Amino acid sequence: MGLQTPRMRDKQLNIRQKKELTESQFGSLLAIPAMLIFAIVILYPFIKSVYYSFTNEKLLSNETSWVGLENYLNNISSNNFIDLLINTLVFVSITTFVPLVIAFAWSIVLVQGFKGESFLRTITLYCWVLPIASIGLLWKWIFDANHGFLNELLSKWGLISENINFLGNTTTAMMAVCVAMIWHSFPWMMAFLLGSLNSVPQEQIEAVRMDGGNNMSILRNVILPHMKPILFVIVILSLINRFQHFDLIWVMTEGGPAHSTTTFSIEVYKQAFQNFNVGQAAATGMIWVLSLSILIFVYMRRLKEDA
Amino acid sequence: MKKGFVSLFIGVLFTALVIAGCSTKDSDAKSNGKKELTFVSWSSQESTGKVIEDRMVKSWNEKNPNTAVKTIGYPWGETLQQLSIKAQSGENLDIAQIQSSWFNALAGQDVLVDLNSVLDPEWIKSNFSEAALKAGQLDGKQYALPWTIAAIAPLYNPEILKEAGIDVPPATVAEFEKALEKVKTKLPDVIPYSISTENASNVSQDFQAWLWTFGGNVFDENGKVTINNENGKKTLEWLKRLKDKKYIQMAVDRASSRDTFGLNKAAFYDDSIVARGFQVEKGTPLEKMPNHLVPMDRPVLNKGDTPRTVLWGHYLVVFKGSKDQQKSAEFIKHLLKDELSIEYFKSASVPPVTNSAKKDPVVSKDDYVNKYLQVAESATPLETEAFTQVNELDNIIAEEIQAALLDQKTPEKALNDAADRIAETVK
Repeated sequence: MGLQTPRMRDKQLNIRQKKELTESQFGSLLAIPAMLIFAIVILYPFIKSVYYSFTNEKLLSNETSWVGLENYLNNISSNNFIDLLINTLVFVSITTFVPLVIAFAWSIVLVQGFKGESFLRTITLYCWVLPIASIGLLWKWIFDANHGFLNELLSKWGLISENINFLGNTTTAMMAVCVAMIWHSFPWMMAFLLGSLNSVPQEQIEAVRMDGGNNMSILRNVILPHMKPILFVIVILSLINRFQHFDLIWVMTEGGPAHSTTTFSIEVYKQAFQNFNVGQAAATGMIWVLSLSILIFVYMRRLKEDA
Repeated sequence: MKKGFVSLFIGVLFTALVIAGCSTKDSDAKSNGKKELTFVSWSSQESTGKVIEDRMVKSWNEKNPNTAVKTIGYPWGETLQQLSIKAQSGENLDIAQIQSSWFNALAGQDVLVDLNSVLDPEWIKSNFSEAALKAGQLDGKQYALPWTIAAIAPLYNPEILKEAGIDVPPATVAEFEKALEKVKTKLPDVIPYSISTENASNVSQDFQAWLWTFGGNVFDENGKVTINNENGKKTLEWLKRLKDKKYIQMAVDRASSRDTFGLNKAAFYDDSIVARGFQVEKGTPLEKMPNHLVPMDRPVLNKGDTPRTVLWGHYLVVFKGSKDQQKSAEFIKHLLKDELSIEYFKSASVPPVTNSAKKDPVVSKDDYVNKYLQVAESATPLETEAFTQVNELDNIIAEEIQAALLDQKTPEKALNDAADRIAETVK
């Protein structure tokens, strides 16, 4: 038991420090359970889907063989692929940008703080909290060709002489589905926009007014620049959500008539769970994932920039 | 830092214990010798099928507390999908009600029990007709027993026909078209013919029946696709004409047809024998049914032709993965008991299939049922049913018919595309 020199003490301290984990190492260790769950719940099915997309896997058969790019080529060369792409883009863009404009206008109305504003806000939010299957059935009834509310209304006003079969026509079916989706989704956007509108600096608005600016210049020079970040988030999240959307379209039209409302999500469901063609469905899913990845990349980049 | 490790370890251990502690009912049941069998049946969830749960399953469970049956009801349109996924993923399935058109799709997966191995083959042979048993056989094995068999027949509303000035139901295609014209002219609010144009399975059923009427077929006797031959084109052109004249409508499925018919807003539609049960549920008393809903022969192209109809039926199967194949098969036998079959018939209008129950006066003196059974005598199974890809084939047929009806393709192009896609699917 000799005396320890300061040099020996420093050496021992270094060894102990080396044995102990750094903060980032400890953080990584803590993340392992979450990573394991991620790997089991998300990564494994994803990798399996990538694998299936190169096979002829079918739910009704136990035999699977490697088919290379056949599923992808079949999908892309199919007569329906262009329709599928157009339908998806039409549905995604209309149900993202139209409700955004409505939500923006409605938030500006609600932010005025008049009597009954909170009641209107609550009523509006009901459209969002209702189960999507119920919304689908509700709008299916509204658009019904024989007993539908809309036909009844248009007929009473003398705008139509004969009922319109909104859901049975290739041109109107997609519009009908979009209207239902817009009705359901704009309150969600409104909730975000309203929060942001409430935090617009009043002094800047006053300043524009003192400089003789009108409402349009307030909107252009104060409100929109202030709301740009939240608008960006809403648009990206909404685009991603619409790309994935399935329930409402399925309840209202099942992707028909004649494929006119079939989007990627409907097509994957039909291929996998009606035709039981898992390999084909996985290939469609991968094309869909690639399209979505662009949006996710833009969103993540923006998040990184903000950080 | 050590403290952090200890907390992490305790956390992981706790989670593991919680997961391990979540033992299933199944394992609890095994420990006390009880097994719970599952019976997948969409009819049990329909208003006309309450007797399945209230009488059939209840009476079994009272007598068999150790192998009680639990009913699971998926919607009709999702049942095949659910059964296939569960069977392929190795999930324990016991008993299921299936539609006759799904039989090949399920039997082809090698997941069903040969019922001759768990029930007395003599009992099977002596209780059902040969034709009824044949539809549940594959490679000589009896994988399914019939629960109810009839046909999908055209139905008409006598009151509407009378209002439109039609004295007798049409017997030929030409008379049928004329009748539709009369309904459209005299009763503009009524849909003359509520044929299915939305749900793929129903579209395919209704189309194939008319295709046969026009002398066409989806496949010839050698398996070659012939849906696009001259007779096929004539069928689709005729349907297109009906649509253009507004005698038929788009976006119509079986359920909406039942609703429209229930409101006296449709003159004709096609349905299985369960149609009457739904009309009773929608408010028409049984005694008024002869004025509201009457089955008829499908109109023929030329006088003297045999009316063509789609064979329809519900079958019962036991899965190889069953917790108790013997008891599951006995449950099927229980469901087929005469007194229970008659009760089910009274509630849902589904005719019993055992030779003894068919003779019961409640069944044999029912005009509605007798007409359906007479129509069913010449009924044939859907051509698409012969393939495990029945759903995919029905989807193809429905999509191409919709495209033609909506002017996206000519009938010729739609049927040529259908033929190519069908050939590619079954190759």
